[in-house]
Amino acid sequence: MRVLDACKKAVKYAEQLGVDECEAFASYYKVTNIEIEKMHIKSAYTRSIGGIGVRVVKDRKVGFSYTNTVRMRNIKKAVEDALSIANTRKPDERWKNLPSPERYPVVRKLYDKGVKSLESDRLVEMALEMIDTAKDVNKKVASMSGSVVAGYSVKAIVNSQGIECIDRGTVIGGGLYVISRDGGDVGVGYDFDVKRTLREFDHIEPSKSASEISMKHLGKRKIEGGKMTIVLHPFAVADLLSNIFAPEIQGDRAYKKQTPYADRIGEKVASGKLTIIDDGTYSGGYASAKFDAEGVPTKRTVIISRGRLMNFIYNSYWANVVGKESTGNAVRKTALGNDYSVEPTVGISNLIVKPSKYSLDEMISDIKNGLYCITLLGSHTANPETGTFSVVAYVAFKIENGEIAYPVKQAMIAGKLPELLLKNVDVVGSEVRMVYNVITPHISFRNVTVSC
Amino acid sequence: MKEMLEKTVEYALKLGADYADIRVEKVATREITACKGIIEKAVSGVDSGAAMRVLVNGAWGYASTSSITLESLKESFERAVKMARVNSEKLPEHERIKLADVKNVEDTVRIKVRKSLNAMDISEKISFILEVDKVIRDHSPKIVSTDIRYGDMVGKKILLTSEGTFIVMDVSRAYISMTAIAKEGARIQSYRTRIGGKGGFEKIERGDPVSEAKRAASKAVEMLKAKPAPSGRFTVIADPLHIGVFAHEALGHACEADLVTSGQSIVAGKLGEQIGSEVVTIYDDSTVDFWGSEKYDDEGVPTRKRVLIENGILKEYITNRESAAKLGVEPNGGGRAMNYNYAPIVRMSNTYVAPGDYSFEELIEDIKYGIYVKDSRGGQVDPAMGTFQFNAQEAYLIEKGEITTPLLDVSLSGLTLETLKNIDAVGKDLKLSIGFCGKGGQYVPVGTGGPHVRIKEVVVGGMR
Repeated sequence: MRVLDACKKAVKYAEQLGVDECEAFASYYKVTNIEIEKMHIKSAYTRSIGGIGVRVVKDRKVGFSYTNTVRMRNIKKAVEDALSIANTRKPDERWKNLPSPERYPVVRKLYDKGVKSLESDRLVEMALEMIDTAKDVNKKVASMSGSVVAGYSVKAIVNSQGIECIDRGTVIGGGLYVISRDGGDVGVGYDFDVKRTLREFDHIEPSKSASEISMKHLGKRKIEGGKMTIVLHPFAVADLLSNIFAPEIQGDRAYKKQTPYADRIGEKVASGKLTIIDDGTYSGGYASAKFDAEGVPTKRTVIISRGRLMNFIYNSYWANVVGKESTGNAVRKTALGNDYSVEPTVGISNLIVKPSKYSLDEMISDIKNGLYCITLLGSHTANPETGTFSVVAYVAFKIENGEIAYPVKQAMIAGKLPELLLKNVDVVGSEVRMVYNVITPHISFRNVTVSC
Repeated sequence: MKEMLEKTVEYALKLGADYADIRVEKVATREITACKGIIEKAVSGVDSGAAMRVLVNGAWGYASTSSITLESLKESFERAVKMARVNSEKLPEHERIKLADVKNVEDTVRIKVRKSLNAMDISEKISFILEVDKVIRDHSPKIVSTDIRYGDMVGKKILLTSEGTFIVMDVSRAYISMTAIAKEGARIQSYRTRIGGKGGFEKIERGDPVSEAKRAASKAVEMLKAKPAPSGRFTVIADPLHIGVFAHEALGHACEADLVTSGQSIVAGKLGEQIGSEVVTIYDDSTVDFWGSEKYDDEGVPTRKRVLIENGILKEYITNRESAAKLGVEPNGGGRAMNYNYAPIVRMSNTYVAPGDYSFEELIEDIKYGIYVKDSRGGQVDPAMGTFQFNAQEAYLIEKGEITTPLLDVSLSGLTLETLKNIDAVGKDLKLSIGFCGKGGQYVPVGTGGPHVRIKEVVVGGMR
């Protein structure tokens, strides 16, 4: 329990220096990664990342600093640096206090010792099974890339209000991108699975599916652009929701009027077919945990209920600013795994789109002229302030007379996501996929502009 | 330090490694963000650690640690060798990795710094950030919000290889991005500019942050009048920042030799072929005094200017030692790693289209109906198919040779090999911009740019 000790020492030292409040967050990750390239294993590595981040408050002035070692000398320096940063700032009139202890929910399937103790030999075997599966399905496989990753994490938070918590978690994932060739024609397909426990994880099925998609993606044809119904695969839905919708439901952005949903609580902002929930307590969820990034219990927060905007998400700071309770949505956002190096901000936990009762076949059978989009390119370039996006449907199939007809050579789709969610939702599907922290079925939209 | 590192590398060879290297880094970073006159975040911190890499029977093994003691480094090498052995057992004979030969280097690389980022007090940086924030807000009552992000990193990187290379390199970079958010009625628009460089704080000052802040504000307000873009195929004029994203995303990635040798690139097997129109020349140059440059890559190979395309002919790929050996060429210094937690992979440096001889007026005068796209929030590409998407931060309609209506957020798409042939005129200006490129979970600083360029038949993903 080195991370918890490190946090206690940091808070104690900060208190000795005379700060008003202090919070220490320490994390340690161990990740084993097997990379697949072409038809073999490219590399195998383990990576340990860990460190401690310290937030201090003095006269309502906040400072933050971190170190990636847990040696006392470095922890002391981080506390001192955080305090000296605090001293350079003006008092934050909105500052109230760090969060206080509360009871944590019981969240199941977050840790599996089977994942933690997985040997790299077994992961290599899995990777080889993935390669073989993809090759067996489809004789036109020309190359692939992918990985199998097993991770173990432990996080601890201590603050001067009395929070003292520690939790551990595991995650195992495997994904494959398959390239098929037929003469000069190239088809690609991608699929993956990610779970918190070994028993639920399946590396075979996605390898099969990626290979099948890449084969079906051969023989692309040019199509005519225009307005049509598009069916988005859970990958595409998750891509748009996490890049555009997720920032738009942040309470801090709503307060700063940086989202089209600002000042619209209680209003109908989406189709009555849509219910969207943020749930940090979802059993086995990719982003599930007992507590958020500042030690506040995770919660289930209804964002959109049958089209009506119900809540924004908050961490403790922004909840205090608007006089609400934290929704347990403090996150330490970083692309690099070193979450100890960033201050808590607001972000989604697991975003869940409630499924309806229609299978993919039923969704497609009603469409005369449409596009089935599996993966998109460029969702990260969308503009969350306005919700506008203009992306490539790059693994996409033409739908004609209720059937998937052929793969499409080139197609872009564009629109404003908030408007699409309000006016264009056709059908919400029944089968959900956990696409990292977005759990969603297929969704189809009417009357979307497709450019070719 | 050198002696200790030599001991650990010798230890790795004793454990059975055929090749071993170790990279040790210590980097201090600062990050400050502001919104509407309030500092929202001020962070400083230090990351230090070491990365170990070994080849055993032609298979890689890696390990990293944040504890730089002889004992911990040796233990990490043990892990790396174990991983390599596991990997090596299943590797087919023809896939065993060889490294291209390089001359050993002993060098210390300093960065010229006029205004040290470490010596400068954080309060001075904070007041600078609040100043540009105020410049944006003072520009117009329509500016409702701002998002200012400042970051810098200062430190040292050391590389030691079992072959005898030993390089000590300074790290010193600073950047600032300034976003203005304007609102009128229900319409919101944002505009971002960024400046930065390799060196000290002077790199930010030389980018004229105050006038860049004003520009961000006035563009955000101007784009409030933007109309939905048309959809379909058009002749497009791309500005230097937008064509830079094209050079990087569409061609640059396809020229990364790891993608070429693993059958994931559309330009594999096309060296010496005419893949673009004769007016197209594209470089990836790590020797210019710019954001994305390094004197040596993270494998200790001296970098140089790589000619990717010259007058439309594909000339060379960007290589690290592994891919260079596969291709039978000399490595050109393309092996870069984000930090000690990652192994070097093939990366770009500063990628740009070489200027031609058209003036802006000449480029635009014959276009009856087209689109002028400027700058970009980024893009994405599938190098195996050559399908690309990139966003334009700012766009206008071109009608009868004149720039007319501003257009709402729009992106372009195309197929790299078709688009390279559809470039029919290249401007004589040249501008580079800073950015970060993500690949394999690693983000490294890269530069992109070029002149104004005219492209035919580009798919524009509009809303009408």
